[in-house]
Amino acid sequence: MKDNISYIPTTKKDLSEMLSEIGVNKIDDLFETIPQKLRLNSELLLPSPLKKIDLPLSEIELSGYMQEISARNNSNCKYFLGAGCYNHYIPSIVDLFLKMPKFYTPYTPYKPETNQGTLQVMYEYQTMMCRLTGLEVSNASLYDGATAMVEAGKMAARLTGRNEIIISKSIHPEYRQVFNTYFKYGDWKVIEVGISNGKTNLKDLEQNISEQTAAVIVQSPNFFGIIEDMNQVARMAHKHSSLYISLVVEALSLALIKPSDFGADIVAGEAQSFGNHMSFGGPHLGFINCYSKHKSKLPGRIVTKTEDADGKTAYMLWGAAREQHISRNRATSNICSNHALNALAVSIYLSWYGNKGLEELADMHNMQMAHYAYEKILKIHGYAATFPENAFFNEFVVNCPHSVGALNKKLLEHSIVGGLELGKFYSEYKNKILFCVTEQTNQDDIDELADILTYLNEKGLK
Amino acid sequence: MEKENVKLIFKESQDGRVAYSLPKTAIKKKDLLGEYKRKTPGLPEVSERQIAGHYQNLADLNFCPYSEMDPLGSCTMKYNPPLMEALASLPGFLNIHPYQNESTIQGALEAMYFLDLYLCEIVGMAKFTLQPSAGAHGESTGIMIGGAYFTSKAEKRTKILAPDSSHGTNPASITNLGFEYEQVNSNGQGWVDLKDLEKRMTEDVAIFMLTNPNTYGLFDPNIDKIAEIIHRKGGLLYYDGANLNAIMGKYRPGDLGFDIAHINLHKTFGTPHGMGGPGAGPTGVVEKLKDFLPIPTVEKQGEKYTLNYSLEHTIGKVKAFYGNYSILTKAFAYILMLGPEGLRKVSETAVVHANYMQEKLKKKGFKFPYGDQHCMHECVMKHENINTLGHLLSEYFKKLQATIHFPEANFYMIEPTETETKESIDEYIEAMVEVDKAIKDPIVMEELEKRKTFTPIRKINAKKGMARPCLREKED
Repeated sequence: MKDNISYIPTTKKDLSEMLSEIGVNKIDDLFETIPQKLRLNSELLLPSPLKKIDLPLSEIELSGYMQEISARNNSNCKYFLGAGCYNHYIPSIVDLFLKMPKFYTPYTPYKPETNQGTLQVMYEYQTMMCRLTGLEVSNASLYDGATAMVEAGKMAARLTGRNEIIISKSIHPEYRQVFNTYFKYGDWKVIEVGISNGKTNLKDLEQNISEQTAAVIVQSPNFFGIIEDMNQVARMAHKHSSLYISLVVEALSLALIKPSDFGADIVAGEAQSFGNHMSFGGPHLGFINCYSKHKSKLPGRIVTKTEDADGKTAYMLWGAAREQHISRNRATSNICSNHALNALAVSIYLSWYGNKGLEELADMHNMQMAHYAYEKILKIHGYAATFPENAFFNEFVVNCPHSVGALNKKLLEHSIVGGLELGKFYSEYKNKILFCVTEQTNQDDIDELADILTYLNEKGLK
Repeated sequence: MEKENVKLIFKESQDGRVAYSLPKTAIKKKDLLGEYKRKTPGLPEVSERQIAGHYQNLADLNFCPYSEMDPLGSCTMKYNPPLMEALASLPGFLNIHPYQNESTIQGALEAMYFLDLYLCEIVGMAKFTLQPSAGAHGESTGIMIGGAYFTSKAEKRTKILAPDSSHGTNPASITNLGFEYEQVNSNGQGWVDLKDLEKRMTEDVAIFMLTNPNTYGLFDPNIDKIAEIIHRKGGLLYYDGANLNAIMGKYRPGDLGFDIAHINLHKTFGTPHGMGGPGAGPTGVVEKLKDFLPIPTVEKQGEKYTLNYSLEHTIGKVKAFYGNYSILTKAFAYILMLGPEGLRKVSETAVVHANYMQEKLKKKGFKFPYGDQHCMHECVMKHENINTLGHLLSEYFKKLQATIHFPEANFYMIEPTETETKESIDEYIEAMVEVDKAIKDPIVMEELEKRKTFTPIRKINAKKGMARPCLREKED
């Protein structure tokens, strides 16, 4: 049996030399400031998940166990499920660099001289995001889209000096839930405006917007995949000098639709689609982009290009006065750790696709393919358009002739993960299903899905 | 001299170059967007070979804890075992969707269930949420839980206290959630000033946020008195787990009277920092606060793991889905690999290493204002020229700078961690001695400046960078 614990290099000899240098006899002398009665007198009780082996596990045992439980998850499927987490293909080169110790292990780049690689990655990421959204400044990542929405709301309140925020019910339900959780604390008013044929109800919006409104937040493509009337939302917001926050949850839509074309003041959202695995919902990454005039209120790390003492191009973090480690209780946000490694994935992914590739991917393999699936499914008896006559990106909702849960169970037998049961989040939309189509579900897969749906319709689910 | 280390990827772009490949499709293309369709975004047009070169060259500009000891106090930078990355990257973890049927994610839930159980045991809490993405996110979650708890009891408490030496995230989390922040002073020994705490701890105060060992690297022995003061006035005691690496298996915050605790998995449990994240900040609570946790929590019913959405007083959600899953998996694997004895030895060794560093540096003439006590997992040195010291260590000795100017100006906070060898600690000490000599003696400095430099740039022109921000590359 080995004496040492994995990952601790200190030998008995090292230990006795160090203790003698310190001038104590035993390790516990160093813990003497902890009152005796508060100290633990026995080992922690950590039950093993394995029936026959106690902790600690060896590397071989641990690998075996983790492989076993990972195999209990069903991942080898065709996913027609999106709803805020998208099964896009990830080029090998992305994962290779994400595992490189020089990207994988370093700390936040507070010291520019030893972190130029990180800082340039972030600067390039910021540039790519700005080019996609059409705005001028991007932070270098937040936790996820939902928390980015929260931060964007607070940012708008700071910029306008107002405390009322309007959010659309067509925003991802979990994002709204996160938003409402945070905005219960402090002096806020959050107004939720309703839905009309799958889009934000503009009349409802018009009735609620006022000189007290800091921002209007609308997701486009929205939770149902539908592209909102962004121009109209912007016009209404701007009429009251409110800010229009365009929320983007399926970042790939940015390849075809540029929020700044429609008057967005702030673009916030989730960039998981660009090179980040579904990973059971995280880690993904949030982003906020804004115009330069608003940058002092933008939360999160931001990198600037500058020079070193010799005039050589160099990069560093900008605007530390906004941040918690300098301004403490006056900081624009409490964010410290962010999702820098996920931002690296975005940069490599976008470089790999380039302009042409990203457009082809978004248009042909997502939007056009989703429309192909939509039309195909609507032809099946019993399926109908829930929100007809709308433009949508890679997700769409249809009325389903079965209980969605039961249907999905059947689809799983064919290794298909079906769409989201909309009733899970919207009680008014029972038996409606939100399908998602990406480049991972090709024409053959869609045809197969349609065949199975047809078959189940004829034979019933039993 | 070169004008830049690595050309921007946009400068390598040439029309017509591609790295991507996509399948052919037979479907007929329709005009679906019309005039709404955007103009080309200006992404780089490069070959895959160029991408490989670009990111390899950028990686080479970074110092990292794989090549050098990273003694960054207050942010434990220990070794990140590749095994954990390999296991977290198994397709069964990486390629699953958060909304797929519960019967198809039993393995994922098992890992979460056991991680929750282990974290509860390690810090002495009753239940954890694994949702928060970082320490600061855990703080927000804990504050909201505390806030909801007092609201449920119809108590109006508007203030939250934290010591002057707290991490910056504490006061920022407090005010960003609409609470009033009040600072509690430290006494001359680096501990909480009990008189000041007593004075400030009124019935308006919801929570006192504390890390113990504190940011001086010292264990505050008055912790039971602190807990008594807070609880007497009906308040909650919050444990900032940034410094958990010192205490595993030695004492449990829950046993000391803490009611809420967040843990930074990317510090204590060996998950990598990834240039600043993603991390994970699971947040635990004692029994009476369990019902206030964010939904869902993970439970076991018979042999089946489930997501529980029915918590009576839940604050709601703090993140979409369930947390930074792959980080959670890595921490889970780390705990399985070390076990109870291993975790205790992690903390014991970390404390021995820090004390060794402190004692040896003291003997070399460095000043430790609190050095008359044993430190825990990190120690704080004071030096008049701390910026220069840190910089020269990197520039001429290829050493990573520790934390500077924290928790006080001119402080140098060093945390060697348990994963470094005695030799690498000694080397770091030797480099500090040499740099200190150079700072004090212009002749030695002149000699030093003739040596090879290791940093890819010289001292940054921070003044220019701050005054004239250039936050994106404009298109030509």
